Amino acid sequence: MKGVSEVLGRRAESVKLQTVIFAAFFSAALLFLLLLAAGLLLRFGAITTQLVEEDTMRMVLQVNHLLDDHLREIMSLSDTLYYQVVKDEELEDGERTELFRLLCQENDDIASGAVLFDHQGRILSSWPHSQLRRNAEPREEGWYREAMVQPENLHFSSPYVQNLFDDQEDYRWVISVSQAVQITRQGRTEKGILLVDTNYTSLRQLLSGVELPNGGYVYLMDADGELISHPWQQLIYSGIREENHLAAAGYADGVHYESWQDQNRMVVVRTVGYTGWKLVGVVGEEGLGWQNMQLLPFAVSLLLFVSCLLAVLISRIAALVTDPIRRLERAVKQIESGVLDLEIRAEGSYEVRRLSSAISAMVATLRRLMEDIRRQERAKRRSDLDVLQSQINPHFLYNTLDSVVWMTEAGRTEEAVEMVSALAKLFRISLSEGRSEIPLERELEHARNYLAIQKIRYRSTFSASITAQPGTEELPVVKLVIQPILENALYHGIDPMEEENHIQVRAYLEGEDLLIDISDDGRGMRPEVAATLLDESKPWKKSKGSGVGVRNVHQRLRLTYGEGYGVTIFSEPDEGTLVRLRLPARRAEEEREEGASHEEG
Amino acid sequence: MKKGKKGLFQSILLVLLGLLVLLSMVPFQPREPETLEISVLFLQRDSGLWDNIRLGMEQAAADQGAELRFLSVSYDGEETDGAQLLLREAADGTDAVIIAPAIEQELEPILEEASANCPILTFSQGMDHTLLDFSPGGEEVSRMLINMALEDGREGTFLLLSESGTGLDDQRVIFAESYLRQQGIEPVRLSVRQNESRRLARTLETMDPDCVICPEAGLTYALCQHWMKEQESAPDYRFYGMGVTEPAARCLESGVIRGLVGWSDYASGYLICESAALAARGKEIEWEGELPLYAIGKEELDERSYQKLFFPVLP
Repeated sequence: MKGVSEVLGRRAESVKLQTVIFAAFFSAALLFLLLLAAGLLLRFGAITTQLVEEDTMRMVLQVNHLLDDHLREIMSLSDTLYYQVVKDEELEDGERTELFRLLCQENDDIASGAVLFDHQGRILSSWPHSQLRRNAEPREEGWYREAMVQPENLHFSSPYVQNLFDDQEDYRWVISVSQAVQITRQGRTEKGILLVDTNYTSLRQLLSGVELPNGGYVYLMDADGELISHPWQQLIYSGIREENHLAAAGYADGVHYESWQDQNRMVVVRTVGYTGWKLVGVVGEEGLGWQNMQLLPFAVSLLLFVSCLLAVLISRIAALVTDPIRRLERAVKQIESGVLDLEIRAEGSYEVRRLSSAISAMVATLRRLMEDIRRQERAKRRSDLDVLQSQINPHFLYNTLDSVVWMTEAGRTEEAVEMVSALAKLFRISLSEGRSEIPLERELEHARNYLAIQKIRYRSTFSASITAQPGTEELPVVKLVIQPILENALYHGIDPMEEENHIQVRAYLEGEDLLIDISDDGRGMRPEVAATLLDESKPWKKSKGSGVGVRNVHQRLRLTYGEGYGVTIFSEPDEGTLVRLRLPARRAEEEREEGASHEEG
Repeated sequence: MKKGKKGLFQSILLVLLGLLVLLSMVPFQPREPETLEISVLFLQRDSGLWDNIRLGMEQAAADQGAELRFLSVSYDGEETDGAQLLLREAADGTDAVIIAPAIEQELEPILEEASANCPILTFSQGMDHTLLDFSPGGEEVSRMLINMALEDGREGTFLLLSESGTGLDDQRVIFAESYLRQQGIEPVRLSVRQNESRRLARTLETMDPDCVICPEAGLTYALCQHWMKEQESAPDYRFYGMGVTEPAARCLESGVIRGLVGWSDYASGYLICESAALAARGKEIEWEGELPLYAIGKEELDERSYQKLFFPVLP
């Protein structure tokens, strides 16, 4: 469990902001959408169900009214037969029968016949049948018994095949309406039963045309659940179909929901007045809108469409928010890798723009600070080298002064004066009012003075020439860069006492650069040895003119002018050495302008 | 490039889903199944026998969206034109054919040929090349009739009546003969033609049996119709027949005959027509099993449950 949470935690850490925003917004939107859809669907379902309930109830009530009218007509006929025919004491049985015929024929849509029985079940008047079937016993019929038991009421039987009379042509289904009557015959009043057989077909036709909304149907049953009329009545009688009428017989008036044969359905029950019959409207599941085949595809496709639209929109919004942050992140990565000269665009939201500006400012500060540090470092190093370079070797000074003393004592005053004069110039140029750069002309003069001192001191016979390409005299150069090379040439390159040895200093231009070649035709050295002289990783050999001066010059040139400048040594054994100084050929004015622009930056 | 492809995909998806939404808004009307034509072949003389079956068939046709064509087959005393009619109907492209029991046996040789074009349905069990068998077997009918007769008395001559030319009833009579023998009674057999009911009634009187058992509905119907028409010729022997028709019920009610064995003709008509429509649409026929048989005496006729079965409520 802990491992899983760790993995999830690690995965969560690597999830992109855009994904997080998308997931959060889309989940919330989808949840909202689903809740809304579910709410609307439920509400729609409830409204649909309510409408179906109301429609069904309205329809059932209308049918109930029609049925009520139909039954009232039957009751009215029965009452007419009783009060206007049966109660008429003056009428004979035959006259009653004739009136029965007239009234029944006039109302043949509701009645198929009428019979008056005496209290022993004998026919007194009857139409259209006149004779009971052999062994028929009307007193055992339900309608007879009920009328006898409750003489104050009219009784409606459930449908049955009338099979009481001998002269019936067919087996006709009827609903019998019976009531107890008082018969006055020959001055005597006795109890009897008036039977009216209703036209069952007209009652069925009244209900057969009724169709409820959404494929529902209506059926009629008596209070005990015996079917009176049903669209599939004969199929139910035959056992091919089934109906839940016995359960419905127990329902009170109103709307009920039941599950029947694996289907939920709505049942609307309405009791028909007087008879106790129940009119039942049934609407199946498909009619209630619970499984609306129209609504479901629409809802699903709309939900899919809106979900995809939301996904696209949220994805775009997330990208809009996160793209500037991602660009900023890439910029920060570049800064991490040392790239400081990049442009960070301030875009996106207010916070991101502020962050971009802050990072830009930070980068600028960092860049400036690093530049400052680098410059300071460079200046310090150059200063150190300058100091080192500007220090006149005490041995050289001692030896020179010793030579001056020696020459003075020897009366070689002119040479002494010359030497002292050269030494003085040497020092003046060395100082150069504290400037690090001096014109080439003065640097060359410094070299001449040095060579002059050395020549006097060693009484050397070596020759030396110093030349400069015209136009280069005024070019500024870092001071005291030639003298260390000359010192090396004197100590290691040539034998100063040899007449044939020659040292040449030549300054000239090459493209944009000023080159100063210091060459000698002395012993020379192997190129690998020459290469080690400038290699800073190699330790210095503390000896007189051991090349420290050359390396010092090389570093000073590079510090002052950059990596592309410095010292190059060309040497072959017994062929001499050429030390080339490469400097930028910049005028003093240019230098000043450049310096000014650096300061402004 | 990747973003462009993604955007294009999203746009196409949205357009497709939008079209789906529009499509789902188009009102959906389930297609009404095509009206079927179902031909019913029956013997002209049996039309009265077919009243309740016809009611059931008409109800099933209305429920299944079918039109019924009742084709009466004429009978000249020797043979019918049923074979010709059946082949013609099958060739003319009727969707299904229902064959009345009285001509099943005669048409059996051509059922294979006719059923190549459309489903053929018969009422009786054991017919080859038909799709539906739901009538009770002949043995059951015979057994019930004999049991009713034996309950009323075992004495005297028992005559088994069958119609010549109908193999089905022959089967019933053969079983009845065997069953009576098992009961220790040696029956007499009489095979007659149905269109001679008056002569048959006289023949029966001449033969003077004590009990007549007729396991064939057409013959029972014809005799009962004769007796109802000419009431003075009512038999003085016990008669037990097959099929609850109006003349038979009248005879039973009036005591002319003693008992009937029958099923719900309405239900049989409904089931066979419903099955024909399902078969024509290539659907599975759902009904399995047999319709129940009932033995009905005079007393049962007044019972509401029997009335519901044998006297259909008109739609």
